[in-house]
Amino acid sequence: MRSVKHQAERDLHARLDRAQARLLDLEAAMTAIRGGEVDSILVDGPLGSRIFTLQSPEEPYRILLERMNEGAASLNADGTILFCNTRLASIVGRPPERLVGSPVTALAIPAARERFQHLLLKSLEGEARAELQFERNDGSFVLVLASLSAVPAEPVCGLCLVATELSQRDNEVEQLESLNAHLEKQVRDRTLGLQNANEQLKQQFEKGEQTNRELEHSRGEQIRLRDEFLSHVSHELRSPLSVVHQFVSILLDGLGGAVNADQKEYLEITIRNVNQLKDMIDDLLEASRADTCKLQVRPSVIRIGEVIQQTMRSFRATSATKVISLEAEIADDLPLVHADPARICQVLTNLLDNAAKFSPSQSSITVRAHVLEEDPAFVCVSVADCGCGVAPEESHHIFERLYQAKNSLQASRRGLGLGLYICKELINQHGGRIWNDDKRKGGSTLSFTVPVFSIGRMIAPIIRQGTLVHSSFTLLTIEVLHSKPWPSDRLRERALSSVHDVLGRCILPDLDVLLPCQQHSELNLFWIVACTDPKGAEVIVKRMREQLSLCVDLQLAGISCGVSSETLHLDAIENDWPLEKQVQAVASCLEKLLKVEPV
Amino acid sequence: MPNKILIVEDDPDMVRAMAVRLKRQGYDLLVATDAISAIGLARRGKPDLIVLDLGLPGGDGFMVMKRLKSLPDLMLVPIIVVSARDPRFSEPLALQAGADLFLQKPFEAAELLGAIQNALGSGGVRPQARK
Repeated sequence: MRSVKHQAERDLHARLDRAQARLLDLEAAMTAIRGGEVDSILVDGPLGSRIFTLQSPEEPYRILLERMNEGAASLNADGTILFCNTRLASIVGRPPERLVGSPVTALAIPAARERFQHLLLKSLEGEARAELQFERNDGSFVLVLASLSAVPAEPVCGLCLVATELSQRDNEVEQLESLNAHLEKQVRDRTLGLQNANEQLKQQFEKGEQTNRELEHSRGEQIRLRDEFLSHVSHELRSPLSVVHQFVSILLDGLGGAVNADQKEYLEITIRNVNQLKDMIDDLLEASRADTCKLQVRPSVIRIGEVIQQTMRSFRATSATKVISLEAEIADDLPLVHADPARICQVLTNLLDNAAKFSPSQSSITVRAHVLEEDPAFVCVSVADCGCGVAPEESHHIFERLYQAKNSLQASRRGLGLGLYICKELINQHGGRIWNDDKRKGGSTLSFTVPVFSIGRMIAPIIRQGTLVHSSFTLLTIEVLHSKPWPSDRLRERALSSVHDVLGRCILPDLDVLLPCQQHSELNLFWIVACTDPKGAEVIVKRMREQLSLCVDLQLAGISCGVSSETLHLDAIENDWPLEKQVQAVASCLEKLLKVEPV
Repeated sequence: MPNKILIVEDDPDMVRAMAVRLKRQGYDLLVATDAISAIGLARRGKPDLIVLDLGLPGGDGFMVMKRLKSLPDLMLVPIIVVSARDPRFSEPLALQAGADLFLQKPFEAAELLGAIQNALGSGGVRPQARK
């Protein structure tokens, strides 16, 4: 009985001792907690060990630490881990509770622990960082960048550790690099694609260019071949025609014996047809020139009334349709026009030919010339017939190349369909226009315009603002004289055109203007308005004389030229006048000198 | 003594036509129908004027002019070119080669006769004009 009592007493003592020891522990823990020495408490329970952190004002920071992508831990001054986030635990592959309370150096592989210790000491003075190898739970290691910084706090100093997993950073870098490489590859691929596309486009473009060049070349070649062909055909046709012409005119002139009236008439018909054939050959060449913009027009100052009369006279003499009466209604006060007389004659002859072709016998053709009402800068010439007229739907086509009117009276005399086309090109080159009056009933009226001659318009280009005061103008007069009567008008025209060419070579296009010669004048005169002083004029005159004396065909045709110069006195002109006014002043001065006035 | 004219023309019909005209005017005539004989005849016959076609067998009118202009005793003889060629191209070439005038076929008889009269009449001014 006594032994049982002893046993119970011993048990009670033992339990009391244990309880007292536990109380002491708890008192010590409470003291530690109160002293701020404990951050977390590890409690063993039926669910295993659990870590409890103490609620404190730093709680939000702890949460922040948990969310960090880096491993983080707070350490006490000797490097014992007081708290760590889950990320640090996962870097080393150990549960967090195993880390808390252990020395932080134990995270490193044994070989690196000493270095870690040094780092720890160094960080107490502020900050330290180093790359270290941490040991994972499975024995592998991981490279981390450990940054340690001292956290000065009362009563004890602490440290905090931030561990960045370098291999992960490497992974990220690798990923970035791979992404970058991928992107670069894509860029390269696209660039290559673009370059290829560009290259293909370039090749196609070059191919197109090449084709263009070939087409252009072949077009040029075709034009050249056509011109050559036409030139050759013209030559070959002209030679026998020339023989026919010569012999018919020999017979007509009575060199082959006397001809009676009938024979003379037949011969005249023959020679007229020879001339018509010659004109057709000329038309072929002219049309070909018109196509390639090579038609030549040499305008001069002419009285168009005289050209019209002359053309009508020769048309009467050569035309087969003598039964048709030709009438002229030419205004008395026509101004001088700036036109090529030979070309105007050519156009008018063509219009007269056309009118005659479509006119019934016993009808009349009227040629009218007057200043254009709508624009007095032009003179209008029209040819009206009493023929079948131009059908309204044909009106716009008759000036087209190779166009044939449908209702020609004489189908055999249709011609080549080039005449009106050439007329249009020639009139265009004069700066005028040609048209058919499509409102006319009972016949047709074809009209064209040519510009009125105006010295102002010709000299405007050389008169620039501000040049008048400093420079003077000189008028050079070149008189073309012939010692004998001209053998033919053609020769005279050629001679004048030769002089024109020579003079053209002696002037400077920006400073001098060669005024067209006055063809109506008994004296054949050329005028040059030169923007130069008397000394400069002397040089020009000398050069002209030399050039003219070198021109042998002038000598042969018995032509000589007199050159004189005269300085223009333009004192009244002010430099600040507008250009137009200056031009007008110089022009009127010139007009007085040249005595250019309406007929 | 009548002036002597050398006609260089390969078309016999054309030669005939010109001959009728020129003989009637009282000129003496020499006729060559190709380039080579034209040069030979010019050297032997010493014409006062040459009427020259451009298209010729055995050369052409330009060759004839080039040769004639290189011979001291013939270089001053006036040359009138008569050709059916397009004067726009051939006239400047002919004048450059030494021709004095270019007449396109068919031409009026008066044009040729007038040009011949002028050339023979104004022979005195030619030496200065030439070079």
